Amino acid sequence: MQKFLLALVSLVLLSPTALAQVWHLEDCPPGHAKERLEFREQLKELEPGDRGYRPNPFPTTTDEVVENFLTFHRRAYSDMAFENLRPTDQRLFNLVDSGHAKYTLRRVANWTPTRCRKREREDYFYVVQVIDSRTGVEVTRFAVDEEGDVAQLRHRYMDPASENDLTPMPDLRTASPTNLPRGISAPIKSRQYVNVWGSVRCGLLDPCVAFKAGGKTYFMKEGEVYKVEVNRRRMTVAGEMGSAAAKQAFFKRMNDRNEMFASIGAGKLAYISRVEP
Amino acid sequence: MTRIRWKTLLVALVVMCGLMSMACGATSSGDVKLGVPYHAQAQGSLDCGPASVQMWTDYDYGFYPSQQEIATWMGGTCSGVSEDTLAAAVNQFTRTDDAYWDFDAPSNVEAFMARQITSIDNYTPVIAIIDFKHAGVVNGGKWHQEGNWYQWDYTYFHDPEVRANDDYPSARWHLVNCPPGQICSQIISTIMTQGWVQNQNSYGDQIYDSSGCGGGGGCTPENQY
Repeated sequence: MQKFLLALVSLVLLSPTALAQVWHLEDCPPGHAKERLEFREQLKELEPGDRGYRPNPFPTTTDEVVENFLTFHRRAYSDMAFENLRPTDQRLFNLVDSGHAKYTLRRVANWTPTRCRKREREDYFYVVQVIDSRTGVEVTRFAVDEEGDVAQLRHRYMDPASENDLTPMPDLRTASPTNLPRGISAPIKSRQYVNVWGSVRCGLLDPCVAFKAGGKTYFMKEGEVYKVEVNRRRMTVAGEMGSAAAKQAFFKRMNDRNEMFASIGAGKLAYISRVEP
Repeated sequence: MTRIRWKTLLVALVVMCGLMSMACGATSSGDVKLGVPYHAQAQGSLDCGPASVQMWTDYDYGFYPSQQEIATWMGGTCSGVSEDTLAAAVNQFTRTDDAYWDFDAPSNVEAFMARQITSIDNYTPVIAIIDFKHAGVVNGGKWHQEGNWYQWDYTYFHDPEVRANDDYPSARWHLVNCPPGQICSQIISTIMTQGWVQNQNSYGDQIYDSSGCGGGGGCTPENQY
């Protein structure tokens, strides 16, 4: 009985709904279980060559995520001779085929409006860094969503002197906030990568680091910490940006009042504020 | 779902890229890139709109005004100005003089994307609005043929805050350019998108996005809440 209760509590705590509540996110609206189940089954039945095929629907391991990406990427360029590929793609395929590619996988929580859809639910993405094990240089970074579909790709430029090249992934353990008030810490255990849309952009391939402290939710981008104002009125994407007029009015209002906002999953938006040290 | 027929467009892409391989910047029919010169927005600034106009101007003329000059003309940067103003800046600074703010509901993603692809097919950049209000330039994309159908693989996007040519698989591109719950949004030329209806009506179910959804668009209405 004790084991059963423990398992039940663990299940509740680890469920997407519970995780969303812990982070004060907006959880997905109920329903659509049938659509999502049907979609799951459809994905499992796809064969190589079928549209939308991926070798590992709902991947869980690095190998499965990498296999999905490589299958998609090779197929996308299957109509081109190798010498006609972009040099960055040639470099990637050469590295993979040489056996010297090392893969580092990270999980990024999805706080964008794409998290909850009727057919698909995407609580997180997998982001993989492809590193040349001989040099330690990251050559490519890509993301795969929860269903195993490739979501984004970015190569390091060929010219090492290029500006705006791949920026280092923040390290969950060592990322240090620059503007936390005294007495507030950013516990390493509570940290996670997040993809956020809004006044502060946290890209899928260059995510921010979110953390909880004192019952509040924060995220930091390049050391700058922002607090999610969970107790203020929440706005909706459909309401604030569902039409051209509403969107224009919303951004004018935010700009006039010097206010900031961020997506917090589902179709909801929250005000955010830069933390003052 | 809207039924789209894009076969003619793809044939045109093949022919035009073959004839104009320098403009395509590609040696294969399936890799369509405009070659828009990339300009980053100043670090820490909100100049995504001015940077996008600057890229388009550089593509047209080979020279360009500063982002500051464009921002001053616009009266603001990314968050402070409307998409209408961004379209007006395109008309002011680039060779295009009929750009407008094109917006549509996500349920019309196929039509919206048909206009975007038609513009790229005519070698004219598009400023796409993603992640709510961030502007950048579509620099082309990648598609390939499989049997009697076509897969639209990647969109190449110049993100002035991040870098040149971020590759978005088409299914994800639908979600960032046409997010659930809000409008699809882009700055686009009127004349360079003429024929998009014909393109849309000519292609049909032969176009699939990277997740396998037909019609060249997202899986509507399933991409809605």
